[in-house]
Amino acid sequence: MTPRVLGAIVSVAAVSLLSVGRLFVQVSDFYPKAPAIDGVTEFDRRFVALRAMLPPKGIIGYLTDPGISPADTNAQAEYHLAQYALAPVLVVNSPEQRFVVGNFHRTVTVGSLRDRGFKTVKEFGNGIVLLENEKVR
Amino acid sequence: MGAWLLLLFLILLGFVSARAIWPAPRVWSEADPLRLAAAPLLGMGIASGIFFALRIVLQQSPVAVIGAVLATAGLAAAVAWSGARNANPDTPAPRASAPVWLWILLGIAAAMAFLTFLMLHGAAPHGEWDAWSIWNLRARFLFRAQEFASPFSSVIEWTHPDYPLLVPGVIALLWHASGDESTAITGAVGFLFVLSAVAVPFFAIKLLRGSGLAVLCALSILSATSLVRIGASLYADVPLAAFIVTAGALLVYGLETDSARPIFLAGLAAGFAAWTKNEGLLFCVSLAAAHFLSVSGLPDLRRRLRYLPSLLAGMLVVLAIAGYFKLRMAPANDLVNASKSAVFRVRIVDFNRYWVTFWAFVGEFLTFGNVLVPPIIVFSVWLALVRLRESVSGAALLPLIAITIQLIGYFGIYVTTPTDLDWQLNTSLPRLLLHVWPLAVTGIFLISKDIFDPAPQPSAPVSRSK
Repeated sequence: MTPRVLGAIVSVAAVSLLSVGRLFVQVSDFYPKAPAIDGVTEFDRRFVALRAMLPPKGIIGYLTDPGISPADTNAQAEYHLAQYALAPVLVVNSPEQRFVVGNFHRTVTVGSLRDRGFKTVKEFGNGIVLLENEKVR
Repeated sequence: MGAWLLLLFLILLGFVSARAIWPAPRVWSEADPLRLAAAPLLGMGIASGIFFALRIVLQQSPVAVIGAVLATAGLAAAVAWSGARNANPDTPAPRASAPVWLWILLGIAAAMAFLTFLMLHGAAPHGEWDAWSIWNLRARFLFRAQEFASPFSSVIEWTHPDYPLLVPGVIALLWHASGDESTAITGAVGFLFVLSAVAVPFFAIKLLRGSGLAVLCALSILSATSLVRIGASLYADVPLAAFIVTAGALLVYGLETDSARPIFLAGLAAGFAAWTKNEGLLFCVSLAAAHFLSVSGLPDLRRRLRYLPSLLAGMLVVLAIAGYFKLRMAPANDLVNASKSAVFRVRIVDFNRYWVTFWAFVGEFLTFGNVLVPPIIVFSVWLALVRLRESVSGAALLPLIAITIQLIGYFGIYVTTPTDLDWQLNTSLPRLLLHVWPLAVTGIFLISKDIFDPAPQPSAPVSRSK
């Protein structure tokens, strides 16, 4: 094997080993600090009781804290995760459905919801509420 | 039956199907490692096709679907067994071998990649954004639903209900086998796709060019760490990359060993690419075009025409399933929908979009995959030092031609995309380049001079002087 060929082999092998090794070190450093239960599993658990109450098909609305822009990345992620949790029921990102799932992080009073035309059907804790939109009966 | 047992059966289904289509003598044969490397892909592809036809279209029970998968494996095993009686032995691999220290380096890289995958999957067992908003979400719909209109409803257009069902279908099938939505099984499926994306080109290069270049090929594929990172994110981009490299590698193998059987399997893998992601449809076109654009003369053209029916037949078997889904069940694709509008004509003559897309491609080529040194530099240095093979046949150039066509197609899609171009480029270009990465690396090693071969390559015949 000529030095030129050996140089070619070593450069390809070294670039690979160092690239794979760098990611390995980064992930090994981060992994022990990662939460024991990941965010998606935690989010999913908040919806377990609600899902058990829903029919096997249908469409449900979605409502979150007032003042949050629909373009907000976190709000979008939570809406997508709500659909992930509640499948096969279809979740539309609008309260204009007869039944609406409320996913709140701030305290919302029954009175303020009633003022907006929503009747509370059931509270599931952790900010999850099933609402009935009285304007869409 | 547990999901793990069924997953093992799917690998077995893939292996016996590969042997039924491309027979070999009963004892362990030279090309069996390549068949085994492709087995998880073929098994999962076949099983998802059966799941789609029986569960989603004909609304049969999950037990009936699992029974049909097992019966198919039994049938394929019987065909493979009887076909083995008269099968010719596989073409022997070149004798060039790799030094032990190179094998050790590959072992270290593979072990680190495996542990990285485990840690990433442990930290995010449901995968990243696209996994739980598209792929695993669709799997949940298919597993939980008692009817199959809701999963493809345009009410949830943001979930891309037109996306093909290979990955969600196989996950839903495995969940039916276990009775729960195990994230460990989705992780195992994700890992098998990463494994095949490295193992198939490794064994294909080993059979065609010897183990030295095969080890370097596998090391080079692993150097793009996005393969493991995106694989652990449970996106469908790595499964697509695995099918693309399998189709390309088997087609080259079939052409170089003059055998139609692996070419049918190549067509099947290309079809499964289309059943994995919409970009796979473009790959079917790219592969068929590269099959002809890589001819090296009139006799070669005749040979390619002879093999074309095998390639197309393999593709069409799966494209029939994908076509039924697209035409009868799925809403129209958002990009295709938007491309019908007058805005499309405006975008296609907007040269600024070409400029922006061009520079995004250049930037991504230089930073692709988090490789320590840009791959374009690594391979330029590699080819400058080892040189090209003395006789680069048309078939060896096929992978690089196929990915060039694929990338031109991606370029065109970006130029005409209805969504914000910068956002689209930033969020998808690294994943789109990953689709062709394993096949690009395979193409580089197919045209490289065999530096490990102790015997000199035969030189081209010298014409007699008059």
